[in-house]
Amino acid sequence: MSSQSPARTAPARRGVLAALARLGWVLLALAGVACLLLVVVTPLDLRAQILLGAGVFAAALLLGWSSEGSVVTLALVLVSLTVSTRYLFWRLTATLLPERTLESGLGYVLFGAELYAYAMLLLGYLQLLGRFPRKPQPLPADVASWPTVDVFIPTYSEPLEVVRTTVLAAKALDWPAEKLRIFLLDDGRRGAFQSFAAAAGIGYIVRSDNAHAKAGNLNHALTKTRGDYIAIFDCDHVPTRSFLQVCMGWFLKDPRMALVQTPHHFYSPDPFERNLGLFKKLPSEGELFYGLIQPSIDLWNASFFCGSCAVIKRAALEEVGGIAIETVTEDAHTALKMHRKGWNSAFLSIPQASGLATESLAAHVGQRIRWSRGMAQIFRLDNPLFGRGLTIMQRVSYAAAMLHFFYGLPRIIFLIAPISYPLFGLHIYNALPLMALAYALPHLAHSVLTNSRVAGAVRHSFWNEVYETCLAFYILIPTTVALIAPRRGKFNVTAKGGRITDPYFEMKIAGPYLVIAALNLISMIIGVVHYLHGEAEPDVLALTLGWSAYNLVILCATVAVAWEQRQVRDSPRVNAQLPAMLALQGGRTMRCKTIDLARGGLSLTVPAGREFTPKERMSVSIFTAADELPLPAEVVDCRGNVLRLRFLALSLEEEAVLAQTIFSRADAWVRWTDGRAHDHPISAFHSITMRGLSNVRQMVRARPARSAGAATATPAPPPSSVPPPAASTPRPPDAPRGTL
Amino acid sequence: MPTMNDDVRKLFESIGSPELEYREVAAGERWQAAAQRWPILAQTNRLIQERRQVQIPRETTQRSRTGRCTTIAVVSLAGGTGRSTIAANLAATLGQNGRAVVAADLDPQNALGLHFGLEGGESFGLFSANLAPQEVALWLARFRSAAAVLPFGPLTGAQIAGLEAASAREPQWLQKRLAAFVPNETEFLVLDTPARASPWLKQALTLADTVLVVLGPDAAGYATLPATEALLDEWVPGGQGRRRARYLVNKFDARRALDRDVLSSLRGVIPERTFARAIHADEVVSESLARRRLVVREGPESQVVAELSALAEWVEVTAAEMRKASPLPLVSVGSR
Repeated sequence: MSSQSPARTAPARRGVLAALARLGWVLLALAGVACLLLVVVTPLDLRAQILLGAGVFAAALLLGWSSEGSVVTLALVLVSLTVSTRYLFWRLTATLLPERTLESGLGYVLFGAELYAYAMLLLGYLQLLGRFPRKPQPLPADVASWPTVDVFIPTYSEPLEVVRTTVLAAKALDWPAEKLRIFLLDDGRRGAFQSFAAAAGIGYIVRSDNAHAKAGNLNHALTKTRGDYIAIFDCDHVPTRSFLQVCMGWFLKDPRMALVQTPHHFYSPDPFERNLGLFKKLPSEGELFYGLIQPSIDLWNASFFCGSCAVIKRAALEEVGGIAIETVTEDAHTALKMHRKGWNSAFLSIPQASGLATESLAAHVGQRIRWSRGMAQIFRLDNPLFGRGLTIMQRVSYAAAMLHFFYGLPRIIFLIAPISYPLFGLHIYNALPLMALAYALPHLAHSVLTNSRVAGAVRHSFWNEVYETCLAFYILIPTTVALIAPRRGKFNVTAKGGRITDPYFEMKIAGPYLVIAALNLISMIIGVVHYLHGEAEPDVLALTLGWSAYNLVILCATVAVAWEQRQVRDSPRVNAQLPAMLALQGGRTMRCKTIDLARGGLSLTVPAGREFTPKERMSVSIFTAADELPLPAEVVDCRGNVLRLRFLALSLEEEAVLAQTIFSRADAWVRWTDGRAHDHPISAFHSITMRGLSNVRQMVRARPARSAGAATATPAPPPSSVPPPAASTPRPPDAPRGTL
Repeated sequence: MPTMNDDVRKLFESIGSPELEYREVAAGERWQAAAQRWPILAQTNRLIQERRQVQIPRETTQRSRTGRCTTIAVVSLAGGTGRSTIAANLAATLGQNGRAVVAADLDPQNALGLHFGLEGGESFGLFSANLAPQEVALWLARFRSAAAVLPFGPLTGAQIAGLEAASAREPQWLQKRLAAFVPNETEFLVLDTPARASPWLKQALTLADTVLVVLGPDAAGYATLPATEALLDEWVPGGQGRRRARYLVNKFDARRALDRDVLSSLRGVIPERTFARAIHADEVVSESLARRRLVVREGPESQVVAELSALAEWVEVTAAEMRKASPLPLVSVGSR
């Protein structure tokens, strides 16, 4: 007894100390929050507010400049939140009028939009507090103990060429052959696909109907297969050979792991990148989500399934009744259901597959309409804030992901709001303009500064505005309808692998934004006219004109995206410097290095001095981890030391080697972001302004052609259409150099 | 199982986890599938693996070496594999890298010199007569830039028989002979050996730090592999012959399915001792001999030259490793 007492008191004392320490931290945190609250609620006069705003901003600039550390980042987030909260508090208490007039009503609408933006800022900061540095886990040394995996490649209407590459690369997945089965799930029930599957030696699964689209297709295949795990690849997402060995370790480490998701990486430019000539110069639109949001919510065990490039445990999937079919974003919904049942998820931020970006702006908009509608459906039918089984941070993370898609209305309100005064003389923002600036500018400036610091590597400043503006008008109605009648509407397939032979202006998408831009422009002109007649309050007018000008910059850049540029190559090139060998006619060889590769051909650096004649035949070997297999090719042309070859008819084996050379290398996508500039808010805004201005020039110059273009503006012009003379079609700087 | 490839290594380095393990499962399955397609590959692999089960005690007897140099014996028990070509061009590549290299022809065919532009009619030779040191120095001075070559010498059948008898009596016969010819500052001595078993082939194998076995990319070449290993085990004491052996596929043409499978099989069954790529078949090789030039001069942009350069690097590294693993006393026998 007595011998035990010291052993018992020591932990007890330690427990008391720990509790005291915890209490101390809590008290400290409470004191901190109290201080911040004081900052939030204290009203100041104009002079003092200007001094406070400028002082805090200067301090934040200095602090940010002084260190890259995460403590400073956290401090800047807190400062930004405090400043924004102070703005919102002032807005709520000092600028809203109680009376029931049109003016004050519109004022409440604008305030509502600001509240939404504030809530998203808050949720964003909350989500991005930390990132889970998740690394692949080792697999057991005994390969015989590895689990069985079924690879599902669902397809519906995509071209066979796209699917072939994916299937052939999936066959090269580095996993024991007897534990790996690949299935093509063809909802299109096409004979050519069936015979290809037979030739490639993979499974082919069809069903009698297309109920519940992709989700139904996957669920049907689940009943026909038996693997312990399911790897899912959209039919254009080509996996590297290391995909499974990188992903599977987590399932063996954590028996409750239901899902391992990897990023969706795209090796072709999306409409923004292609039409603005920005491919590889700027983070892609998806990088914010896959580069920052998923790794961050992974910290809370809330990373979710994105439909492709992921592995799911069959047992977990069966427990939630298969892939969810109630909503059109079956992926996120399935993950939510698995989380509710206590399963875990993992996000590995390592691109281990690559796909084709949406081929046109219209297709991009269509895809996002589906996402926003689906997320709104889940929010309505299976709201993550309620129901069983989730942790608080899981609820917050899911809710943030869903609420994100409700930006349509707030965005349009911000775009239209400044016209209310010059055009209609309405004061929807009841405050002295200077006072408003003194409160609002710090709020905006801090959020730009802090977001650039937190997310600059994956999303450059102000580009969010362009991406969201482009979709705002189109997701507004679907999200609203989904909230009211969540069970309506059906799945739409995103078009991939198409070509645009003839540049055109996508009037269907740009129309509403041209109207809003015109409203802002007219409002500015009328405002100036009023001012010249001495009929306007100069300070109010200046504020609204500034706001309109900002809107115009964003709108011009948005409309610029609607100029669809040529995309003649249906298999985009992938840059890769790989050692290669030419076996020339006559039996000599030549050592060279690849520059880029595509399904149809490749370019190489060759030693100077050797002449090549067009159509000259040879075979080319490209050296990777796989066994060498020479591919027959002929010369397209040779300029300087750059030789371009076109592949001759390839056998299935040769086609597989080509697909694996381009896509199966474990490190194929690791250096993708090399040579990209860092985000800087001012240069980002300058870049957006310049894109917008060049768009204006293009619209003015192309006016006669535009009516003709608008008449033939279809998302996929017939391939036979003759390309217009080069002079009239400005090519983006990184447009392909010819057709291979 | 083959070791992790470069692409995976780069991937793991890029995510800051170079310590992660990876298994080249598919590559392992590929060579087993290759063996299933060709019975002779399966049979040869089985023989190699059986031979591996035989444990050989580590070397206990001391070897002596010729001067300070690293000796590489280029060996092939099958004819026509391009052994002389590899010996000559490997020596020349090492020479181009700034090494002091001597290539010595131990094959009575006396053909190694042809690669270096000799006419074959020269009376000078390693075995032709006893020469004064200044004559040897004069001869070696002819090869200023690339490797120096010591031809076998134009010998009659009777003379060769005499050499065989002499070498059979004296175990250090070859070593003494070389010591009289190879200058002390030599860094690499490349021996081109005869295809048929002879006393001085045995002595060359014992002498060598690295035994580079050249295989043709065909069934006949691959099938000589167990016999070569058996010979090395038998002739070189303490199992050092096999440990020092390195394998190389020459005249490789990946358009032929059998070539691919032979290489894949070799890489699968002896991964740590096989030159990972191969030396490709290339007309530049026979054309440069016809022009009496080295391949490195005739076709510097050819794949073969790049591969020879990789081979030279690999040989240098392995030879250095082996010397570190079993350091030998520097006994210079019969120095001049």
